[in-house]
Amino acid sequence: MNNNLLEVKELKTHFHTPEGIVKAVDDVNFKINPGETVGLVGESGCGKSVTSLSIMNLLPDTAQVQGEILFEKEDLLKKTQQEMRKIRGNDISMIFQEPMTALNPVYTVGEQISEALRLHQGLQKKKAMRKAVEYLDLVGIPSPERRVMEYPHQLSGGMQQRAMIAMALCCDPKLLIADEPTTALDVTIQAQILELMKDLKERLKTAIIMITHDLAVIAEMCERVIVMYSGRVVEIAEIKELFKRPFHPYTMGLIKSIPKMEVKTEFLYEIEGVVPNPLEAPPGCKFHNRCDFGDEKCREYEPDLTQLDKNHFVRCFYPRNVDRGGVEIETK
Amino acid sequence: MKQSNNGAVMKVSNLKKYFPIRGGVLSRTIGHVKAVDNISFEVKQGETLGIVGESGCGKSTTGKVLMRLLEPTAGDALFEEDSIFDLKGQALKDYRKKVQMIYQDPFSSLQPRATVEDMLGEILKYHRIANTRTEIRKRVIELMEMVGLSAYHIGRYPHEFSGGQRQRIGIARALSLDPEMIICDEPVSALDVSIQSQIINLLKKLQKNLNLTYLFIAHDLSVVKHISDRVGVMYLGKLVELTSGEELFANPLHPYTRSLLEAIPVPDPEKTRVKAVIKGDVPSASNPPPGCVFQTRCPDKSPRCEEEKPGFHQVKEDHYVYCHMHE
Repeated sequence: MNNNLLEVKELKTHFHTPEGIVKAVDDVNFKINPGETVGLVGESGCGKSVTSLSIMNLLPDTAQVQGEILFEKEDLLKKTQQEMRKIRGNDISMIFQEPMTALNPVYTVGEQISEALRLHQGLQKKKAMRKAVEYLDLVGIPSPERRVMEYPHQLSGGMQQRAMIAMALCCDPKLLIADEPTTALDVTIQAQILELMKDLKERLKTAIIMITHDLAVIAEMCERVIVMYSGRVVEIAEIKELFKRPFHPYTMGLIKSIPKMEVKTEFLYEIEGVVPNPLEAPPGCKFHNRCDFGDEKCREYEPDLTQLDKNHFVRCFYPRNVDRGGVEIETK
Repeated sequence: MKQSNNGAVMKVSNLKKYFPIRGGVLSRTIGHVKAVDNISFEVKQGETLGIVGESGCGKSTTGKVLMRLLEPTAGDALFEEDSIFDLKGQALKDYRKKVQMIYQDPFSSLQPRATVEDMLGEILKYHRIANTRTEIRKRVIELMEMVGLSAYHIGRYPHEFSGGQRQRIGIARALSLDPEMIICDEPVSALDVSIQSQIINLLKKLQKNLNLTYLFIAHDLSVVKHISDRVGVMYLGKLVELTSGEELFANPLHPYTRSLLEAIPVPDPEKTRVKAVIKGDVPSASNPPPGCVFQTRCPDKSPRCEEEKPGFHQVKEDHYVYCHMHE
C-alpha cells in the first residue's frame, strides 16, 4: 500500500469568482501505482483537467487548493514554485490537448526539447541537441536530424503531438499526465499516437494518467479508470470490470451512449438533462437530476465513495449491475 | 455517375473547388489547393447522406460550396432540377430557405449579443415568414419546443446556455425557415458523449417528423454510421467510396475506408484492435501525389497507382469506389 507513486487525498480545488465559489474539484481521492496507466474520464466541466493542473500546481492564483497530493510521499502542495519547477518536466511531465498552442512558435522543436534536458539534467547544448534527436527518433518522427531544426508550424498536427511526447519523455519522468492527447487529432493519426504511447509505456515503464472524455480511448490504453462527474469521483474500477459491471448509473449511461459500430439501433441511448451548473450545485448526489434510479434520499444526502469489491469503488446509494440487481449501501 | 434520377433532391456532378495560392512580388497565382477535386454524388429525398473524412479532405468545403457560401471552380449541382450555382437574387434567397446549414461550433456560430428571440426573429423577418412581434414570438416558441428547449429560454443570450443547448439553438435556427434539406457540418463533434447522443437523436426525430433530407458531414465514422443511410468517404479532395451505410461497414472496398474503420478505438477492453495502423500523414492538398491520391499511404499500392488516376467505378448497385483494384 505504501509504494504508491501518487496519492491524491481529499483534494479540493475551488475558484472564487464574482458570482460565487465554483467547486471544480471537490473531495477527490485516488492513487496511482508506479508504471500503471490510469484513465481519468468525464465530460467537460467535470474537473478532470483541473485535477491534473492541481497536481502540476499550474493553476492561477484565484484557485484555492486544499488537501494533499503525495508524490513519492512528498506533498506537492507544500512545495514552493522553485521546488515545483524541478519536478515539472523532470519527475512529472504533461502532454496537452492542442499541440499547436502548447508548443512555442518562435523556438525550434530541438531548442524546446533540449531546454528541458539542459535545465533538469545539466547537459551541454550540443549533447542536449543530440539527445533531442534521439527522442524524436524514438517517437517515430522521420529524418529527426532535420526535424529538430524546424519550427512547430512546419510540422503536421500528428508530428507536433509526437514532438510534445518527445519533450515530455526526454527526462524519463516517473509520471506522465496526458490531457486529451488525441482529441484534436484525426482518427488515423489518433491510432498512430495511441500505438506510440502504448509502445513507449511498455519500454519506459512510465506511469500515465490519461485524461479523456472518450471511453474507447480509455478501453485501449488503460488498466484502471477513474470516472468523474461534477467535481467528484463517482467510480473507480479496473478497466474490464468497469465495462462489464459498471456500478454507477452515470458510468452505465456513458458506456451505453457510445455509438456502437456493430449494432444498428434506431435511437442512441441518451442521458437526459445537463451537467449541473457548478455555482448552483444541488445538495445531495450531483447526478440525481439525471439519474433513472434516484429517490428522496439521493436528493438530500450525498453518498460517499464506497468500496464494493476489490479495487472497485463507487459513489452511489443504489449501485446497479445485472448480477446483483442493485444493492443498497448503508448511509453514515 | 449513372444513377436513376428518381428521388434525388440534390445532384452534384464533377464539383471542383480550388483555392489559389498566391506568391512572389506580384502575388500571382503560383498553385492551387485542390480542396474538392471532381466529386459527384446524389442526395435522395428524405435520406441522410453522410460524408466522412479527416481534416483537410474537403468535406466542409463541399458543404459550403453547396450552400453557396463559396463559389465553385467547376462542376455543377442541381437542387430540384435547378442549377444551384446559377441562382441569383430572389432565387438564391428562396434556395437558402429550402437548404439550411448547422455549423460545427455552437460557441462561435451564434451571435453573442442577441437573445434567442432576436436571433431567430431576424431570420423570420428577413424572409417575411413572420412580421409582427406576436407572430415572431409564437414561431420562436414553437421552434424552441421543437428542439427540446422551453419558451422561457427565448429571452436568453447564447452564453447562458450549455454546449448542447447552443447546438439545439443552431438547429432551431436552421429549422426556422422550414427547410427541405439541412447540411450538417460536424454538428456533434464539439459536444460531450452524452450530449452527442441527445443531439443525434433530436436530428433523427426531426427528420422523421418534418421529412427532412440531411447531408451529414463528420469525421467520426461511428456517428456517421449511426445516422446515415448512405455514406461517402472523402480523402484529399476526392470521394473515394460511396455506398449504403451497411455495405460500407460490412464490405469496405477502398483501402482508405478499411484503414479508417480499423483506426477507430474499440470501446471494449476485451477486444484488441487489429494493429494495422496506416503510416504517415495526409499529403498537402496543394501538392497532391500524382496518380491515386492515397498511394503514399496505401498498403495495397501497385506501380500503376503512381502514374494513373483511378476512376470512380461502380462495383455493384449503389457501391462506387475510386481504386484501380476494383475496376
